[in-house]
Amino acid sequence: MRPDMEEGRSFLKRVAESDAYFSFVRSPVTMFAAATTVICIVVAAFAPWVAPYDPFDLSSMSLMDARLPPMWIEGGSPAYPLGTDAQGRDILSLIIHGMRISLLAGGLSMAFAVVVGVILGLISGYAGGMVDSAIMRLADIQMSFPAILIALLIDGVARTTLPHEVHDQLVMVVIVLSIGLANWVHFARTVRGATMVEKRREYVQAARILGVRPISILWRHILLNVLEPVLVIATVGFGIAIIMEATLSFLGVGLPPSSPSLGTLIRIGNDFLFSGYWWMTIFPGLALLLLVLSINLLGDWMRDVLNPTLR
Amino acid sequence: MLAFVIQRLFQAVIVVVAVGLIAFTLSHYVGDPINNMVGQDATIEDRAALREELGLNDPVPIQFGRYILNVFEGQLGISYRLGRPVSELFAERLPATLELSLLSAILALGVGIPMGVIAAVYPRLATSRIFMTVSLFGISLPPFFVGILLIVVFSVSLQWLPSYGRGTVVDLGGGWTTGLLTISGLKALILPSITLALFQMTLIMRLVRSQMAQVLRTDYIKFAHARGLKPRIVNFRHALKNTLVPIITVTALQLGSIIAFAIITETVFQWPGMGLLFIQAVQFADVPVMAAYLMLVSVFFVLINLISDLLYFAVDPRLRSEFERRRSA
Repeated sequence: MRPDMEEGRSFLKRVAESDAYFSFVRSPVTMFAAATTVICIVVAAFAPWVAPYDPFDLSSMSLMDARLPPMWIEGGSPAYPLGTDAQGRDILSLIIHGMRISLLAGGLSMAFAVVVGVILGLISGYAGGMVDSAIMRLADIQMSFPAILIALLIDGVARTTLPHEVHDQLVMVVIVLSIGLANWVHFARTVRGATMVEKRREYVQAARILGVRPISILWRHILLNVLEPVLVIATVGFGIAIIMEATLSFLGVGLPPSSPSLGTLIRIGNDFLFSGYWWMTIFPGLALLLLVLSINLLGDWMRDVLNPTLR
Repeated sequence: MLAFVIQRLFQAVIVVVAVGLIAFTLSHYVGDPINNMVGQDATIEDRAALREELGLNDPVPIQFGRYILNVFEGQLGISYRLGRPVSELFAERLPATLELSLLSAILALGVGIPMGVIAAVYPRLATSRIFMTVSLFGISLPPFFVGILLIVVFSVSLQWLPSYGRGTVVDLGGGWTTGLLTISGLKALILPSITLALFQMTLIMRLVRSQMAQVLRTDYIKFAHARGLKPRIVNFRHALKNTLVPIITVTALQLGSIIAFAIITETVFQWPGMGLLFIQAVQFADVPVMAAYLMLVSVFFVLINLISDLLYFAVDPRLRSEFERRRSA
């Protein structure tokens, strides 16, 4: 009997004695990153209740309060700690709501990339032969194009083919699809490699002999055993997806000002940079930096703990 | 070796044809090309005549063939937004982008490689730790935000450097303009090229560091030290040389992404290059410009990949022998 299976050991205790927990508490940077990430996600999830103002409520804003600097600068007001934008909206509230949209867009895109990548990787690794080489050639070709260009291209095509009103409604879907499709390759490659290893294991052979259909073998037997590296890549990829969404929005081909992500806020604020209203663009940018930095630190740590051989 | 080259060439041709097909589909089926060319009061007969004249009634494969021929002759269509031939616009904008990208590539390599070597050879040095921290920020900072921060500090606060445009440019003849020959042109280049180089610099540094760290643990390095060779010779002649193979491939790919990231940098700094042209085309659904940019960039990427594959092969003899073995087996 393994020590961790002994009776009386609670889940918490097992966590407390694991290597992962040990390396976690040994690294203050990782703990800080985890705390920041959790705070960002919680604040974003409860944005309507956490944010001091509702930036989309036209009745609550007043042009009298427009362009106020942060509270510690002369002319600022404690009512708006980080200042206000050109329409008198509270920057802090905008950032909280923007973070919600950024996290949503980044998370959904990554989820989409994981689903596409894992399915194609499983099929590619299990089927082998022509199917495998077709999928992997496609991956090779896509890898030679920078992901941001592919996302821009898909977004551009959607923009030209869909009528204007339809596109406005579907803009979130378009963004998620274009970022997701630009990032599936890493998942497909990793899962394919792991699947090819698992395929030769006895439990898969046994399932085959029992006459289990390939789909159930993949779904019920192999999938769970190849998910660990996927988790690591997905964490790092989450940061990349958030940056990509922010970049598309900054370039003016992402989310519109009516549902501003952090990238949209930076773009809008950027127009006022030369008038001296630096807080409109710098604070959303710092929020974005803090979020992505924390996620990247967590991803680095996770990679070291779970799979030191990954790069 | 020859089989490998042919295989890669074949793959390259397939990619270019596929991208050509996408570009063709875009420019022929997205919106009605006739509607974009004639006025409101054109009669149905006029439209039909124009349609026949442009060959839009021909079978699709013939149209596609004609499109590809036109591309080879440099006829890339006319921009909907600017009403000028796309080839003319590209010729005007290409020097700005090339100048910026090339300078950034030199900066990224020239700074990134030495930083990586130092971080790998002296991991306990304070400088190395600073490099690693900087590199973590480098991959977490969105490229456009780097540009904005630089503008805030050096243009808005200190007012040392310009924040947009190319400054004064000199025409070298044939419409090829350069900002490298004037003071204001050089000043205008500083902030955009740092912005564009930073991300690639970070990646190159991290790659060099991890590769170097691996090589430094090998026996022949220990042996070289045991022979009493100077550390500098061991580090650069023995170790760095053997890390160069993967660096070449990654650098080639990075050169490609510099072109892609130039879109972002050019938007931040209003740099009159290809990237800014493309992003405006996406915003305004200017299909001919989008399609042509796509074609041009993909041909460029395919060429880079082909060259880096061949270079990889030429530099590392182990790969060559492995390929021969696999073929004979």
